[in-house]
Amino acid sequence: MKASFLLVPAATLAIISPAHAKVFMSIEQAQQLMFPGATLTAQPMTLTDAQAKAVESASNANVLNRNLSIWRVSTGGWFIADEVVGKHEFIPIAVGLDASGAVKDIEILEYREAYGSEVRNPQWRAQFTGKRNGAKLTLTDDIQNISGATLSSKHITDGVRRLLATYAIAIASH
Amino acid sequence: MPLLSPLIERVKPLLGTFVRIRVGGLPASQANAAIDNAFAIIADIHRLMSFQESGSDVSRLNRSAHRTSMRVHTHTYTVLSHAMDLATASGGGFDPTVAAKLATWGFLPRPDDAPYPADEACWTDIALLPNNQIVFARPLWIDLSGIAKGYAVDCAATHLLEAGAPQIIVDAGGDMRVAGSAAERVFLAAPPPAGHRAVLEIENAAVASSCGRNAVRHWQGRPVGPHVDGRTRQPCSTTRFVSVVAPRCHQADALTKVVLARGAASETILRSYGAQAYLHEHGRWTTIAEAA
Repeated sequence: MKASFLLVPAATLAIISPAHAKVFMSIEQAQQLMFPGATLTAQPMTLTDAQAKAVESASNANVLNRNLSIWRVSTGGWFIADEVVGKHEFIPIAVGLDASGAVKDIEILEYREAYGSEVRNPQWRAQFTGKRNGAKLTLTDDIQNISGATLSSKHITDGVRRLLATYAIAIASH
Repeated sequence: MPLLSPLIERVKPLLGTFVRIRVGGLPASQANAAIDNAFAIIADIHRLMSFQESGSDVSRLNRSAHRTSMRVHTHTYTVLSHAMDLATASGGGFDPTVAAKLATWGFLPRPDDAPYPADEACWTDIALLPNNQIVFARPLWIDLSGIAKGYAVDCAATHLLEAGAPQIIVDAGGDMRVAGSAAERVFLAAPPPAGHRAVLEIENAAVASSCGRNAVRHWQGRPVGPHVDGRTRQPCSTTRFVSVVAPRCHQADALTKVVLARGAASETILRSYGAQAYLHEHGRWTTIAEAA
């Protein structure tokens, strides 16, 4: 075990470029991981006003986008690509449902949230922009590991509950 | 010889937070299979040790272990034994039985079907018996959330290393384990002293952080945080931010609570675990039990 503690002048430290999301995987990669060997057929769908209201009422979560990106899986089940409103940003997620409509798997596709609320503050971010003072940590040394920020995945739970209601109301009958 | 893949990194919502796993040095298919298994291990540990889910080992113990000894999963038994070791070492500063306080203050739900803990019930009322059996001397509520997250990280890391991954990070919302030849930089999300940020460089180590400042509630007119000093049953200061580096993540996770409660007085305990702590309070950083 090795550890060293550094106090770094803020102006020389870059947190991973907050303007850009960290991309973990594409929709296609998530499809292959969740349903290996299966054929997925896109079945885009738009919720009607009545369906959107029913989903909101059943899930107690807002429907911000009525256009559904969904795929039917040849071996049974569905694949949904969606976005969840996080604490500060949209979080693209993929949800796999099995043939009975139960959640089989969830993957976070991109993530911008890990960096704590202060990192979302434009003024706080501005202090890092374009500064290279020759310190040990520079703008090329992005820090992707953050410890001590309070990160709740409740938003994801809410989003998945909304997608399960969407499945029951609009998708299952297809 | 197959070309080694670039880093494979994935994130899932688990343990109430975001769990990120990064694997380097394995072909993609092997890395993804190992990561799938590691996420599944974490989900299993969460199910076993959730305070909220009525079917968990923790809920079963809280309902009935004061009446009869109960067999639990090896994971639960192991975490409880680690918790008891630290409770002993810290003279009860770390105590897995403070859940009733946290429920009173609104940080945990009150279990519907478990008898209310006896006055003065504490960690010394828990007995670990052979064959994964647990018994309580009187009604009490255990809550393993102060150590189980780190344990889940350790189990996931062990699986990835056994699967042959030479370079890994398992990060459960900031409680993380790093293994392999490369050092990792970890930003500590403490309120900064003016003009400076704290960064740890760690290699083959675990780090965990705790701070109550974002979760302050008010109870009977005073602010309370989500951490309890087991010895006094009083809330820990919510102005302290603590990061602990230790060989294993369950140690780092649990030791943050000891340092929140005891500050610099936790040096001996930290050293006994081969750990060190970085405590931020009133705009200043203090290193406790720094390696020679």
